[in-house]
Amino acid sequence: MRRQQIHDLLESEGAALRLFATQWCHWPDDAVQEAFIDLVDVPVWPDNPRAWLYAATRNKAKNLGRAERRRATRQQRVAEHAQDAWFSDSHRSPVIDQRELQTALEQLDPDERQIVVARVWGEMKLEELADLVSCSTSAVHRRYHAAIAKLRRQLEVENATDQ
Amino acid sequence: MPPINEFENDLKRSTPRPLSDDARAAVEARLLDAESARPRGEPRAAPSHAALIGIWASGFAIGAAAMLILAPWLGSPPEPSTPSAPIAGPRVPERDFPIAAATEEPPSDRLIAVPVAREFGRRHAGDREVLTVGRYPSVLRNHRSIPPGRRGPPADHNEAAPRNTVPSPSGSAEQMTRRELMDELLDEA
Repeated sequence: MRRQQIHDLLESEGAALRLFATQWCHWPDDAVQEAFIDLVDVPVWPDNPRAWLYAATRNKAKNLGRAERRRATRQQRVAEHAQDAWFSDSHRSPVIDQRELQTALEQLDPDERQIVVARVWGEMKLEELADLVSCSTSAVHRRYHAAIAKLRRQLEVENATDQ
Repeated sequence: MPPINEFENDLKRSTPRPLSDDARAAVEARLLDAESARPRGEPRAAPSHAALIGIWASGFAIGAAAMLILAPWLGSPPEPSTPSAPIAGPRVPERDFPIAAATEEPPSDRLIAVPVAREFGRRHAGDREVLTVGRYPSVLRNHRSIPPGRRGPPADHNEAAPRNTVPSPSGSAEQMTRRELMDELLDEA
């Protein structure tokens, strides 16, 4: 039962969790992998394993990011992982360019970015987001809409610049 | 400007990169290891508070029942009819007593009070024990606990013959009293 549940979570949430972890480190696969392994070994099964995975992945990614910063400068890491794109190469979105989207996401406030990523691609509820970022539901709702508005403005500016 | 829901849908069309195959394989391997270590698959749920209270109550009941069953054996022993050891002192072997008790009925003048076990340093004021003397008069005669005025051989109240006896003038072995001798002499005169 637990194995099947973890397997389903791996299939359904793997990509979103990887994107979620990309905010803090350049090895998001490792962060997601460690989070899932922790879920396998967790003594008491969490009530909301999906929300638990997001929190665990965030902590793992932050730890990995700190370790990366200790090892090399940002420029060196970018040179080493030049193809570290956040989104896949399959262009399913004719409206938004994925590189522009990545750039716009990178310019968001870190807290706003994790709310947007977990809400849009992780499809988390506002209550789950409130637990994830340790604030009220209304605050999450307010910050989410502010971040979405900021993201839209950023993408429109980039589109206007390109045109 | 499109509505926010439409913009969210546009965002969702951007598919995040999938998790690497290595990470998936690592998680799968860890799952297999965990299942092999845990044959039943499902972990045991933590006991609820009600279960803990039940366990505690059953343990208490078992303990109470055990105490009730073992109560007759766990009670204090009955009070002895004789004083306890610190009051009466340690038992001393009979041979160490200066005077042993006699089973026969002793005469009253042989009843003396002797400090018991003086040799063992247990002299207590007034702690004397009345012992009867009848079987070992020699011990009584020479014992230092006996006042000097009362030492000596005890009177022999068991003598059958009268004390004032003289040999019979007829030369017989029969003993007679002085009164009997005077009566006999007067009769002959």
